[in-house]
Amino acid sequence: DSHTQYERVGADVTMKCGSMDWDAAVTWMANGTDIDESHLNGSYLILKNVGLTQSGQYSCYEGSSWHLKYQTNLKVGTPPKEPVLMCRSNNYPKGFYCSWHLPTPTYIPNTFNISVIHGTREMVCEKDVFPKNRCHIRYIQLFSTVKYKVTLTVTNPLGKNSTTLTFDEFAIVKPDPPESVVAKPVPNNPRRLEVSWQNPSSWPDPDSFPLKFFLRYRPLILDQWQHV
Amino acid sequence: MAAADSPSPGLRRRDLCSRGIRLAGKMRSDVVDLLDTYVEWQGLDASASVAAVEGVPTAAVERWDEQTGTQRLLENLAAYRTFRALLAQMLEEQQEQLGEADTALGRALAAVLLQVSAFTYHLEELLQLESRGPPSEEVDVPVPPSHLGLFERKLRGLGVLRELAQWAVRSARDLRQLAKPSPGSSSAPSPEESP
Repeated sequence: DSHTQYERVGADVTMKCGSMDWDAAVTWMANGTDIDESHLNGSYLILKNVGLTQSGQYSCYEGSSWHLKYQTNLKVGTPPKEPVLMCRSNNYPKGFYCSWHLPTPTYIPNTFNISVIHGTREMVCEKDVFPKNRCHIRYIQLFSTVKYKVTLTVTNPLGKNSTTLTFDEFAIVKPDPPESVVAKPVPNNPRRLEVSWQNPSSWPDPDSFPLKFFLRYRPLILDQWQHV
Repeated sequence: MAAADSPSPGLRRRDLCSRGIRLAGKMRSDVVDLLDTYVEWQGLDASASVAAVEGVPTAAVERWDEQTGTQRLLENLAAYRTFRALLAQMLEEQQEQLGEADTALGRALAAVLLQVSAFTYHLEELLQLESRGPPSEEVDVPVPPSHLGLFERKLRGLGVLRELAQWAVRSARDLRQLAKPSPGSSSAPSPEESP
């Protein structure tokens, strides 16, 4: 019967051939290739200082009958490092989203769990289908002085890690860039440009929450920017 | 009810709203500066956590976008009347504490108190336009219990100023909502403008 086994990079792994005795005659194979006897200690397979390339299907066959006695899927990886978490509101006052990633890959499957607490209230963060490492929270209260506390925990078969962000409602507000930015020449005036743009479509209420825009420009031949 | 030669209520309302928005903006900016001054003078840590203070109007609100114009005005008015009393209290305590008549903190507090008063008056004017008239002036300002130590009073003051700063942001948004042209009567909820 087959199962999966997770081991840390650099660990020493000993695999037993199922219920076979130590002194039984067996043949080990990795991904369909014979494994040299030098890696064997009796019928045990010893992998020292495992690396990522040693992930794969390991099978053990009884010496003469070639019956499959044991099979395992070895996955070499690392426990998760502290995840990187950020939260932002680009659609204030509707809500905000948090997104995260791991600074280094673990090479094995990870599960993420996020909790959002506002004072005494636990809020629901609805996970996005895509991208998978993002979720949305709807604001229930506005103009609150109570901070938000977001904790992200990442777990995999080799370990877990977590990080926490604490912030004020206003501190994470950051609209998306303006849309449809167009610069048109002005007829009969070669030294002028007419620039137009739109509010980002993600910003729900520009009348109550107006956005301020800053424009800078330069001719290609110059390095310095000018500001409007 | 407007006289034939005075501006239409709609125009007057928009005018009061835009002036109110500017007032709220200036108030917010001054309260933020006052917070810095206050924290310095009182020897507090700017990041100190202050639990909800009794009697201080909290700006936090649920379903903000569903509020009617009248609701917004009434809540704002109640809040600023309370802040007016709270700031007057703080100013008095300040003068008692330091003995001197004129300090940077005292001046800053007095300046904000003036703006809060002006804004309150502004809100009353807006409520007149809603044909409701402002409610009578009964403000319930709990006097800080006399057993509150000096430090607790300082923290209380911090809580007051922080909430006032939030209120100033909210008020500007409330007035913008109010200024939106709405179908039907002036007390109908403004249409939600979400894509």
